[in-house]
Amino acid sequence: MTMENYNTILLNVDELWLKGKNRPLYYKAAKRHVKEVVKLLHTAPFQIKNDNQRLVLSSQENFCGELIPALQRIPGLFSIAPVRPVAANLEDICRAAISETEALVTRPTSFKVFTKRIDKRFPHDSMEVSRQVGGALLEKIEQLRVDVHHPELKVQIKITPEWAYVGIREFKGVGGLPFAMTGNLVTLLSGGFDSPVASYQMAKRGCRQSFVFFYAYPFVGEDVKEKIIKMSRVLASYQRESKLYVIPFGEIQKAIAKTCREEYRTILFRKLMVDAANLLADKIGADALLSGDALGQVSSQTIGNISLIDQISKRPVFRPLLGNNKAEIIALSRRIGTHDISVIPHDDACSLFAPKHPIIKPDKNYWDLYNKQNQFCDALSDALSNAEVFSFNALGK
Amino acid sequence: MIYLDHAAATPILPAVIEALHNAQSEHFANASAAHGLGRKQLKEVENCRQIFSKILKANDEDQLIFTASATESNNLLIKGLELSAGDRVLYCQADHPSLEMPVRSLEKSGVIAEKIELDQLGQVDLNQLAERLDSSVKLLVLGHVNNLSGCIQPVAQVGQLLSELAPGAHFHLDAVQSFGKIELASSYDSLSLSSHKIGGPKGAALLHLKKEIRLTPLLDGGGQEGGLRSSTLAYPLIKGFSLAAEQILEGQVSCYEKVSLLNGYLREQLQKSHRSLQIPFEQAQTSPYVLMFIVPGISSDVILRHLGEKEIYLSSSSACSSKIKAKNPVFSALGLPEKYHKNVLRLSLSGGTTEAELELFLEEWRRLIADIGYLFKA
Repeated sequence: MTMENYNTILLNVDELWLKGKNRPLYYKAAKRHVKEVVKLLHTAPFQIKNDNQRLVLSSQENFCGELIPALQRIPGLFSIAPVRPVAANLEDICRAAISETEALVTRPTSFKVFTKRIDKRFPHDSMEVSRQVGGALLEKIEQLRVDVHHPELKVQIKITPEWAYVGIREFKGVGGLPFAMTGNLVTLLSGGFDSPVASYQMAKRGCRQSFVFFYAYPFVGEDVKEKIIKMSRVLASYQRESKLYVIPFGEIQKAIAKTCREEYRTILFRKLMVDAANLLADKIGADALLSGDALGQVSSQTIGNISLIDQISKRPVFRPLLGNNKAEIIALSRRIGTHDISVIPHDDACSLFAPKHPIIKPDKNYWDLYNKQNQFCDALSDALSNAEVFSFNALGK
Repeated sequence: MIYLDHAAATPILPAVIEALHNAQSEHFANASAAHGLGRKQLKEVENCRQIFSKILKANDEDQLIFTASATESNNLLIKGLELSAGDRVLYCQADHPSLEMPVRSLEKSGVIAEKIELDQLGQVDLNQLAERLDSSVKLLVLGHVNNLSGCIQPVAQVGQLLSELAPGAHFHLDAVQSFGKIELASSYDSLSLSSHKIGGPKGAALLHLKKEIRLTPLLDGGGQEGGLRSSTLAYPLIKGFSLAAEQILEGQVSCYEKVSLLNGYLREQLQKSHRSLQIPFEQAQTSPYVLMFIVPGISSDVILRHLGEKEIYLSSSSACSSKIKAKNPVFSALGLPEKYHKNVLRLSLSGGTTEAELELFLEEWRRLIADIGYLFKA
């Protein structure tokens, strides 16, 4: 989008009206995230004010075009609207609405005016303002007609005590709750479609996530790590700040595969990954784990296997995609920008070790006995202390 | 470090490094310059050409053209012949892409590119070839020793068939993997050689054109190399290349014997290391310098990375195409079943490879098998 001449952006917040007494905290969190993003893309001074259930971002200098998509990724923002602030009188409002519309490269044929009169002292009511502005547009711009049901152009007017804001574009945000307001997660990433989408789902719910990847080198190559770093950059752009922990896991997988019954390999890998994620969670103070499981998708995602994992995990494992079909997950991955990374082919250590017939209904006795006889505490803490850590800013850089 | 990827590139010989150093620091002039320094250098280049002329038993009318790589030599020959629409060109899909790709590029101008099939031994199927030959065949390109399988092609028989059944056809031989290692072939019309496979520097190669074959150059410019390869002559590289050629030929016979023994020993020990391991081509039909084997069930990349951690370097396919995943047309052409295409490994030796090195490799190899051998699938 072109941001020519815009130095004011209205940020409408999502769900914060739900939050009662905590509302100021949520505003503060959203504001902090916005500030972080703007700082990275806008060198001139700027300010963010709370203004009647919304945030007003403004600067002396115009904002750049990259800012809008970056703001669209901030959890807690419902919509982002670049606007023109004018003196709160009908004449200036009409003039701004006309010049904004005239500046459009492709002229719309139909429109509707939406007015919100936040300052009830303003002498005209909302209906009247819409009518007046509509009339002015019809008079000035040829071939334009009113369409209240499916307007091509939506002219938004917000009248506050200080300013009237006139805007003709509004971009959807991811919505939900601001970053880090609901808790800290350790997100188990793989190279596929599911885990990145699961991460996005919980980013929307205001979770701060640390990403973890179990790196089975030398069973997989460095290209897999590169892919995960690339993926983490996208996911990090939905957070204010992020870390990726690449945990060496080849030795552990090898040790498991050597000692367990072949059909238990996958589920035991899973267990050790959850153990390691819990260890990391201890270290960084996370409240829960996050994984991209979808029920029944593969053998490690049967109810039996999921419940086995849940019994050994010290923390709850969030699985926001449990009820999703693969096609739904892939469609969402396209929308959030992870699809094209997920499709990059990569080596998969799990498939190398994959048993011919992975266990679907695990035998609890064998499971308990194996885990009693095979402790991987030292190997896990070694792996954790040898983890490579990557940090990303709010733009995923 | 144990380096077993000599077919991709081999260390520069010490004497060559010294010669390179001297040539780089002292012979900086342009060999095409009219002044004394230039003339002196041109003379040096001609001396180098003489060395190759002698080695290749070239006649007076033969042309020896220095290029920057065997890929360039192959391209210059294949594209430079200026074949016409309807002309047939035979090539082998198992060969290096620098033979196949320029041939395939001729298809745009109506030339018919046809694959030659290999038999079970990895050698050109002569009966089938004979059936394909007639006067419409204008060019046949072939690698003397296959860079992946090590299979030696029956060059003399191919040459004879060509002269009998397709007398007008041009026979181009890529001797990159055979030169200085096995006996030199002679029944060809043109030949390419490369420097960095024989202990010379990268960036030097040769095209030997027998008779007065007219080629259209790839590069236009100052008209060096008889107008066939315009570019400032890279004297230091050419000097290093020719020195390496002399040295490798000097030791060829004794190295061949030594490397043959090592190859036999390696085969025996590898075969013993795991019952699923396969060696698809017999020693009798292959160059002892190249040994291909298959580890069913484990991606060769996994093996390379495990060995790489121990500083042991071999190759999973030709370095130029090792990014290819799953089905590999080159392996198909070699007759390897598709299920093994990701499991192919290549060891390649040099005259300098020692038994002690191979013992260390085998020790690590056995350790690796003990570690992950259960993942092998027959």
